[in-house]
Amino acid sequence: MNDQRAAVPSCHADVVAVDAPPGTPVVALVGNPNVGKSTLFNRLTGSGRDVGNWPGTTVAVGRALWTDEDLGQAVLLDLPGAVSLDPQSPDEELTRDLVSRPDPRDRPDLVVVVASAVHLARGLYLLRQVLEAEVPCLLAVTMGDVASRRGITVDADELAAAAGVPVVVVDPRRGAGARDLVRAVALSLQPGPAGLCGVDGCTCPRGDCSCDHDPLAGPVAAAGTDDEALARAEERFAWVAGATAVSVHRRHDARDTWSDRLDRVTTAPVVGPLVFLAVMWVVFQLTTTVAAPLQEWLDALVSGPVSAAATRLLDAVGLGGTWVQGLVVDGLIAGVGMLLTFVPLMAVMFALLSLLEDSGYLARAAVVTDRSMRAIGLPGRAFLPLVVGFGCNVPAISGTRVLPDARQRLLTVLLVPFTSCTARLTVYVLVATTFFGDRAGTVVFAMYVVSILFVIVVGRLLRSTLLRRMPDDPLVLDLPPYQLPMLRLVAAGSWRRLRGFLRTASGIIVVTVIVVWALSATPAPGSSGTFGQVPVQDSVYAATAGAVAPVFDPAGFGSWESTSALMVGFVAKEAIISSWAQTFATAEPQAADTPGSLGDALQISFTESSGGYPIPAVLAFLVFLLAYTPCVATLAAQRREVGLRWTLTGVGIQLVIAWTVAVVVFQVGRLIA
Amino acid sequence: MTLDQAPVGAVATIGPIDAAPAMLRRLAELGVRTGEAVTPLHATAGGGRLLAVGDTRVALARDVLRRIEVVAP
Repeated sequence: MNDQRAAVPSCHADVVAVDAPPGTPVVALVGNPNVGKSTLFNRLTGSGRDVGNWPGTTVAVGRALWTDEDLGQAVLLDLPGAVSLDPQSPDEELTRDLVSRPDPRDRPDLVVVVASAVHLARGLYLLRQVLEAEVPCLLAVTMGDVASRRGITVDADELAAAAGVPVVVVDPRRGAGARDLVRAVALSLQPGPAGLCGVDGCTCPRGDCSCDHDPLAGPVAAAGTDDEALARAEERFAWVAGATAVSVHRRHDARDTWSDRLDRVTTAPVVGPLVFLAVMWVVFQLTTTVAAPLQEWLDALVSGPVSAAATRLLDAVGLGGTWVQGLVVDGLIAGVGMLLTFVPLMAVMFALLSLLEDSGYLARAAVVTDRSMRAIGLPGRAFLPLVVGFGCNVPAISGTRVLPDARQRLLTVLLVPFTSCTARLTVYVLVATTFFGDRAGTVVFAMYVVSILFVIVVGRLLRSTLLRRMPDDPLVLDLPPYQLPMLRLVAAGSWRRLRGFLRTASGIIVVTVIVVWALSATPAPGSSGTFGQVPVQDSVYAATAGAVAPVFDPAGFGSWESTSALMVGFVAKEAIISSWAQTFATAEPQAADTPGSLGDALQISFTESSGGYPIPAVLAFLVFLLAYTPCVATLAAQRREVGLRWTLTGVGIQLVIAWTVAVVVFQVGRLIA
Repeated sequence: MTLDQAPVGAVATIGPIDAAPAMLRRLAELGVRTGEAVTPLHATAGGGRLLAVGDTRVALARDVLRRIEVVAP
C-alpha cells in the first residue's frame, strides 16, 4: 500500500492539472457513496469540472478550479465515495492515500466531509478518521429533506460542539446552504483561530497544534493487526454514538417509508428481476431506436449537404477533384460526421445513467442481478453496461462508471467489446443472407449466443489471469433512499459527460478516419496513379491489406478484399459493407438482406480464399468480426476510462481471441464439411 | 439462529459474526455489528435479505446472513 502511496501524485500536483496558480489551496470533498457529494461539487463549481482518472490509477476524480467572491480561488477535488478510510477498493484506497499522506504538505488544505442526515453516523465515522489523520476539515450535512420526511432532524450547533468541527447544512440539489458552505470553507482556509486542528475536539490553530496527537495513529496505522484495527473501530463507534446522541433527534420511528414499499417490489425475488428486465428493455430501446433516427439524420446531413457544400466551395477556389478535396470531404468531414453520429446515442445513454443513479434504482438493480453476474466475477451493477453494449459499445464503456470498484470497471470495459453491437448486426445479416439463405436468422441468433459465451468465458479467463486480485466479496450494499430525479441536474450531468467524451474521443476518431483516407489515396509502389487519384485496389491501403491477408489463411478468409474490409471495420463496422462494395466495384446494397451482385462477389471471394470451403470460412469470418476491436470510437471511450495501456492490452486480447477462435471454427468446420 | 432465519419484520439483536476482519469492518461501518438491533424487511432476488439498520437499508447476500448470529430481541 505504501508503494501505491508513492506512485500516486499528491493533491497539490492537481493545481497544475486544473491550470491554477501555484499556492492555490486544495479543498477535497470526501463522503460515503450516494450522499450528494458529486452534486455538491457541481453546485459549487458550475460547469468547469474535469473528470478524469487520477494520474497513475484508473480511479476517476472530479477536479475544478473553484472561483468565488467570498473564497477567492481554490482547487476543488471530488474524491471517490468511501465508506471509511480503511479501504476495500482502489477507489477507497485513493481517497485514503490522498487524505492521509505522510507529509502534511501533500494533503489537501481542507477536507469537506459530506454526510447524509439520513445516516449521519456513517458520515461521522468517516469524519472521525479524517480528524485522526490531522487534516483540517469541516462537515457538510446533506439530504436534510429526506431525513425530515423520515422524522429525523440534525442540530448543526450541537453536532459542531460534539464533533469539534464547523458544521454546515446544505442541499446540493436545490442550492440551499451553499453560500454558508462557501463562507465556512473560506474561514477554515484562513490561518488563525477559525482553522482548528480538530483532533479529539482540539481547538489549537490549524498547522500549529501543540497537543500530543499522533497523526500516524489514525487510518495509516490502522493497517496494523486486525485486532488493533477492530479496537480502534470500536473507539470510533463510541465517539460517533456520543455525537449523534446529542445532535440527532427523531420525531417518530419511520419504519415503513414509501421507499420501503417500493423496495418490496423492485428487489423482490420474482417481480424484482422482471422490473429490472423491463427497465433494461427501455434503456436498450432508447439507446438504439430513439437515437437511431437522429444518428441517420446527422449522417445524411454530413455526407449529403455538408459534403456537397464543401465540394462546391473547393470547386470554386480551384481545388475540386484534387487530393485536398479528398482530405477535406473523405477525411476531415467524414471523421467529424462519424463523431457527430455518436452524439445522440451518448446523450441518451448519459441521461438514462443519471436518471437511474439519481433516482436510487441502480442500487436495487445491483441487488437483483448480483447472483447471476457473480458467474463472471462481477457485481450486479455490471449488467447495465453489458446490456447497453448490445446496442452500442461506446456508451456502454462510459456506462461502466456505475461500478464503484476500479478493477471491476476495468474488467467490464475489457468485456464490453465482446457484446455484439447493432453495427455488427448489419454485416451478419448481409453475410448470413448471402451464404445461408433461409437459415440466415438462425445464424444471426447464434452470433448473439456466441457473443454471450465470449463475455462469460473471457470474463472468467481474465479473472484467473490478468485480474486475479479482483474482489469477490458477497453482496453487502447500502441502499440509498429513492429520490425524484431533478431534470436540471440530469441535463447538466449528461452535458458534462457528453462534453468529456467528445473532448477525448474527437481526436482519435477524426485522426483515424483521415489516416485510412490517406492510405487509400496514396498509390502503392509500382502503380500508375497519383496521390488522391488512385483506385482503392492500387493504393497503399490495398497493399497493406494484401500484406496482412496471409495471417487469415488458416481461418479461410485470407483474401485482400476480406482483410481490407476488416481493416475498415477497425474504424467502424458500418463501413464494412460499403468497403466491400467499393472493393468489388459493385453497387452498395439498398438493404443488408438483399445483397444482390455484392453477394455473388462475396461467394466467389470466400470460395477462393478457403480452398472450396466457403461455409466454414464465412462462419470463421463472422466469429472474427464479432470478437475483434469493435471500432475506433470504442477505443477512444476505453482510453478515457482505463488509459492507453489497458486499451492496447484489450485490443491484443480481442485480436488473439478472435483469430484463435476463427482458426478453430474454420479448421473444425472444414473437417466436418 | 442466524440472520437468514430471523423472522421478517421483527427486531433482532446481532450476536457474534463469523467473518474475515475486512468483512467484519465493512459490516460494522454499515451498522451491522454485535449488540446492534436490525429488522429483516423482506427477501430479495438472489436469496438475500433487505435489513433496516437504524434509519438505513442494507442488502446482504445469503452467504453473509448465515454468518451473523442473532440473539433473542
